[in-house]
This record gives sequence, structure tokens and C-alpha cells, in this order.
Amino acid sequence: MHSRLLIGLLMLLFGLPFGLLGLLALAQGWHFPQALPPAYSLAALRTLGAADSELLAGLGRSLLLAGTVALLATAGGFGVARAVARSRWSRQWEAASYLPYALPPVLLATLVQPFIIRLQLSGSGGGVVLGLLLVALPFATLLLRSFWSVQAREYEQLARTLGCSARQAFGRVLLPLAWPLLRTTLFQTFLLAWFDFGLTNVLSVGKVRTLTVQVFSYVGEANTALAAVASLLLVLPPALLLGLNRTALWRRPG
Amino acid sequence: MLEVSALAKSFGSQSVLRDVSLTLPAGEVLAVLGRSGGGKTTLLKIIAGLEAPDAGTLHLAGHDLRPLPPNQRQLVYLYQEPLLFPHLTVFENIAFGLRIRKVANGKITQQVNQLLDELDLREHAQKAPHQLSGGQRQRVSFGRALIIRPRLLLLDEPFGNLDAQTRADMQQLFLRVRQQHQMTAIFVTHDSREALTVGSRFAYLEQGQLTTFASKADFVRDARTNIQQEVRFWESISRTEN
Amino acid sequence: MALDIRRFFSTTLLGGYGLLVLGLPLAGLGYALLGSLGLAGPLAAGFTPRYWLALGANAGLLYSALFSTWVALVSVGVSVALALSLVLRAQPTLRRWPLPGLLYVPLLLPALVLAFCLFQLLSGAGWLARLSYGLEWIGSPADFPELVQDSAGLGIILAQVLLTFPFLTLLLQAIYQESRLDELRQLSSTLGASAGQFRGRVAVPLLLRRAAPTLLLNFIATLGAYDVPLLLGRPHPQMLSVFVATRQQFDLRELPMGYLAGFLVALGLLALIGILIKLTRRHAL
Repeated sequence: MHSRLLIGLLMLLFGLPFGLLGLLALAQGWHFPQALPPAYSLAALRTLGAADSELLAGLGRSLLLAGTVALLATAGGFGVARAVARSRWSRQWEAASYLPYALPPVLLATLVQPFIIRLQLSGSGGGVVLGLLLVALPFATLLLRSFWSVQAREYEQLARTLGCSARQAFGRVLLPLAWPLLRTTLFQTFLLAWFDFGLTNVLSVGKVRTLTVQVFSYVGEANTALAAVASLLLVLPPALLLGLNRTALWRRPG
Repeated sequence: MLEVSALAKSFGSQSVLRDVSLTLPAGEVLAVLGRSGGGKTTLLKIIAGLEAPDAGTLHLAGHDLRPLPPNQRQLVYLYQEPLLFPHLTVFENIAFGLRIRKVANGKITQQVNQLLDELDLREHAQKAPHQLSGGQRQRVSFGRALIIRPRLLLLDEPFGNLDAQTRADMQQLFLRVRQQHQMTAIFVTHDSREALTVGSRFAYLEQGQLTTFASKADFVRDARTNIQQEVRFWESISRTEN
Repeated sequence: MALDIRRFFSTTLLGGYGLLVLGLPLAGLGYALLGSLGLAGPLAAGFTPRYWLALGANAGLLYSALFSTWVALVSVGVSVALALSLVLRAQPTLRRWPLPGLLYVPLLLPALVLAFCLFQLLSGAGWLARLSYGLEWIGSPADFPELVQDSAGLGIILAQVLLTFPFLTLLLQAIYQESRLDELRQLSSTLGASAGQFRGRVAVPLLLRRAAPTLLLNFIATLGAYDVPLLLGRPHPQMLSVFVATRQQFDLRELPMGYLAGFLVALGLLALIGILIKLTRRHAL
């Protein structure tokens, strides 16, 4: 009984935002004090079908940006983690990796903004990717650091004595061994970039209109229907990833 | 067949191997007794090409080994852990070395199946490594090494993590396989009984210095191997029993 | 030879990495310091201590720091309390369907979206206010209690708790199982401990110590939260990230003040992280 109450309460609590978003996306002329929308319309959803759909473009932009960051951070992090593991100052490198990851992203963005402007990347996708990598790369490095243990080295050496060239040992042994962790890192860095609003908004001065930036500007324009549709689009990929693999969303650090 | 002379290696200020020399004729198994940290692993890794020596020479069948990278030496180094590839089945683990060498599929199947039979692993062929017991894993690891017909097998405490019974079984298997394949091997262990069981030649390694013995009797007699002391212990037990 | 090439490659890689993740933020910190002294930035006109002196007269940054600390302490505190009570009191439920999966659901929501939802739910004209009106509890939106954009930061705290506590519950549950607390409970009961004593003397200290690094990161992240307070906060007091960002975005004349704020906040946070890491290391398990 107690248990059912708890489950029911949590379901209500966690379900409420989604229900509300659905209603807001479909509602028409829904004002205080109406508890439910007086009329429903697919108008906001239909904007997705329009050829010049700003939302659809935002979805594409977000996917491209988060995908690029995830790929670069994971590939880079894999290499950096290996170099860190084999460095004489491995612990110091690990500690240093926490710096950008521990600072709030928006603060980080304001700190590096002058350099992004000097590099003429301000307001561009490239600047945002660089800014996001500043957080995602050390994050990926810390996640992947655990792979480069003594055991990974032993596997590599074993593969070499069995006849693998260095490249074959990497492609046929190390990469498959690391794949589960690499996949988690890909998911996590993707979500890190996908969820980001502050850093993107500050670094691009609002010009790189990803989905989160659009949610914010629709909220500012009091266009709740479009804000709700954009919000629902934002929830879609993480939901898909959750269906694929739980560790996509959550993994114990360390 | 294998000739090592005046090998030396240090890590930083710490000298790990000092003037190590040995010769090992084909078909013989050199059992090297020594405690951990005595330089055993470094010696094997240098022979396998996984570490570079600071000084000394290595020749196999008259050819200098030093310029060859590990993958061209055809010497397999086996760890205490079986280190099976978790993403491959038992069959594919054993086939690994042949796949790397791009051997034809039919030939691979035939050779792997033959080894699976020999190692009593046929029924496990399609299993994943995590479904096997400790002894089975070590056998797969053996098969994976044997299939590339190594010129020399380097074993680093290969049975160190097994329970006593499995360990004894594996020692017998090793002797059988060694006979069948006319294998040449260096077998490192800290267990004098295991050394006496698997070896045909004997050596003792301590603090980077290798002593080789002309005969089994010399090996048994040397105080550092502790074998005499062991014998006396068991004798005293049987005396008090009587 | 091959080894040397690899070492060279790995050194270069680490160098580039260091330049990006250490060099760039530290250079930013240096730039912010120079900017606050009038030595860098678009309106730089030579050295002036003016902005640093103005800090004494203007308590905005201090308020902002205090407000952020309040929000972070309360949200992390409430989240930890919720997560602990779930893990310690509802163990059977936590292991049964649909719970572990259910706890992942809030992790699907970006902070900004959650803030938007809460605004729609809790504002004066929000859904709860409409229900209250329907039940004739209130007569107009103004009668509804201020839950968002309020002076105590209740809305922000609520959003942060909703974002944090499911995650913490998953974390503590994982630690609970990994540390085999069920077995420890049986053990301590054979030693004469009551259920309450077990919780207070064994479970809670163990869970908290092992979760300390994550709690620390969470606390810092909440201190620096931006998305939620931007939607659910007031123009005054602002949370730190909002304070710094708004001062650098709109008015060029405010930029040196923005640099100063960014410099001090970053330095303060780094010092805080340093101290907290030391503390958690000392008590780590």
C-alpha cells in the first residue's frame, strides 16, 4: 500500500511535466482561469511540416552540433585518456581535467568569450562547438580514463605477440574492448551538448538557434505552444537513447 | 635455438635484469623459479619484444631478434590472466592469430576444431569467455597461442590463479601438449613443485640475476630453491606420524 | 623508433589538451582580471582601480553569492534527504518495477524545459492557480502564493530538487548495492544494533562518504546554475551565473564590472572546490 502510494506519487510528479507540455502544444486560446484548454489545434505541430520551419531547422542544428561534439569529444577523449594514463603526471592531468568540468558552463563561456571573438568564431557554430568541447572533452577523458588500465596494456601486448601490428591491435582488440564505454561516452557527451542552453546562448550571442535557445526565445515571446513543441522535440532523442541503453543517461562517475 | 647473452635492463635507477644469459635448445622447457619482483616478467617481455633491453643480445635460431617488432617474432607471451577477448567467442578467440594472418576460412575452421578437440573444448566453441571456468579459460588462452605455431612459448605464472586441482590438471595438459607439438618454452613460476613438473631444464632468478643449472639434481640441491628444506619438512612430518 | 614517435604524438596530444582545457580558461581568467583593471577589453583606457573600489559600494555580487549559496545548500540538502529516505526506507519498492526505470524519466528533461514546465504549473496564472480558482480557493492570480520568481528562490529550489534527487537516488542505490548494505544490516543486527542505529551509524555515513565527490560536483553545479534561475528567478537577487552573464551581455559600459564579477566568481568557485576536495579526501572511504 505504502509502496503503491510512493510509486503513484512519483509517476504523477514525473508525468506532470510531460502531460503539461502535451496540452500546451495542442491548446488554443488557453487562458486563466480555464483548467483545461477550451479548444485544441494542431497548428503548432504543423509548423514542423512547413518547408521553412524554424523548429525543424533548430532540430537539425541541435543534432548536428551535439553529434559533432559527441564524436570529437569521444574520439579525442579516447586518445587523451591513453596519453594521460601513460604520462608520468597522470594524477595531475586527471585533476586538471576537472577544472573546466567543475566550473559552471556559463561562467566558462564568459571567460573564454574574448578569445572566441578574437578567433572570429563568435556567433558561429564553430565557436559553440569549441566552447562545448571545453566541457565535453575533459568529461570524456575522465570517463574513458578507466579503460586504459594495466589490463588494456596487457591485451594490447598479447595481441602484438599473436601477430597484430600496432594498428591491428588497436582496431581488432582495443576498440572492441572499449566499445561499451565508448558508446556510453558518445551518448553522454551528445546529451551534454544537446541539453546545453547557457553556454551556447552566451557564446553565440543567441545567434546559433539550437532547440534550447528556441525554447528560451519562444518563452520570452510568450509563445507557449511553440515553446512546448520545441521542448517535446528536446525530450525525444534522450528518450530514444534511454530505450536503447540506460547507461546513456546515467553512469556512476569514477 | 634461443640464445640470450648479457641482457641488462633497468627502470630509472632500479636495475631489474643484470647480465642475464641463457641458451635453450629446441624442444626443451626451461622452468624459471623466482619470487615476484625478481625480474621474471621483464625477462619474458624483452624476449617477446614488448620491452627493449638496455644491453645484451637475443638470437633465435641464429637470427638477431632485436630488430623485429613483437608481431613478427612469432613468440607468444602468456599472462597469469588468460586475457581472453571478451567480444569474441571461444572459437574466434582461438582463431584470432589466423584471422590476423588472413588464413583462408576453411583452413581456420579445420585447425581451430582440431585444437578444440585436443584441448577438450569442442562443446564450448560458441560460448563467450565469461561463461567458462578458470581452467577452461586458460585452455582457450593456450589454444589461441598454439594455433600460430609459436617458435617459443613464454609463460608467466600461467596457472597462478587456479585452484590446486585445476592447476595440477593444467600442468598435465601442458606436458601433453608440449610433447605433441614439440614445443620450446620458458615457464616462469614461483612454485618449485610446478617447476620440477613442467621443466626439462632449470634456472633460478633473483634480483635480476639468473642462475642456470646443468641438471635437475643441481637445481634441487641449491639452497635458494628451498626444495631441500621442503623435503626435510615432509620427512619430519612422516617421522612424527609414525 | 616507433616508441619515440608514439611518445612524441602523446606529448603533443597532451600539450594540445592542456592548452585547451587549462590554458584557455586560465587565459580567460587572466583576461578578466586585466579587463576589471581597465587594461583589456573593448573600452580599455588604461589602468584604473575604479571597478574594484566600486565593489565595496555595490553589494550586488555579494547578494548574488549569498543567494546562490542559499539555493545550492537547500536544493542539495533536500535532494540528499529525499534520496536517502527513499534508499533507506523504501528498499523493496526501489527494486521493483517500475522504479529504477521511473527514476530515469526526469533525466530526460533539459533544465530549461523543466523550468518552463514549472513556470506553467506554478505561476500566478499557472495550472495550479487555475485549479485553485476552480475550487474557489483564490479569487484572482494575485491571490496565488508566489512560488516562482519569488524572493526566496522557491521555484529555483524546486526545479533543482526535481533535477537532482532522482539522480542522487540512483547513485545512492548503486552504492547501497555495491557496498552490500543489506548484509551489513544483518551483521549489525547480530551485533545488537536496532534498525535506526544501523541507519544512523552505518548506512548514512557510508552512503554519504562514498557519494561525497558527486555531491560536491552537484553543489558546485547548482551554485553556478543558469538555465533554471534565468526563467524562474527574479532580476534581483540573481544567481551567480545569471549575474555574471547579464553584466557581460547587454551594456558595454558594464563590461569591466562583468569581467570583475567573472574573475571573482571563478576564483571563488575554484578555491571552494579546492577546499571541499581536501575535506572529502580526508574523510573519503
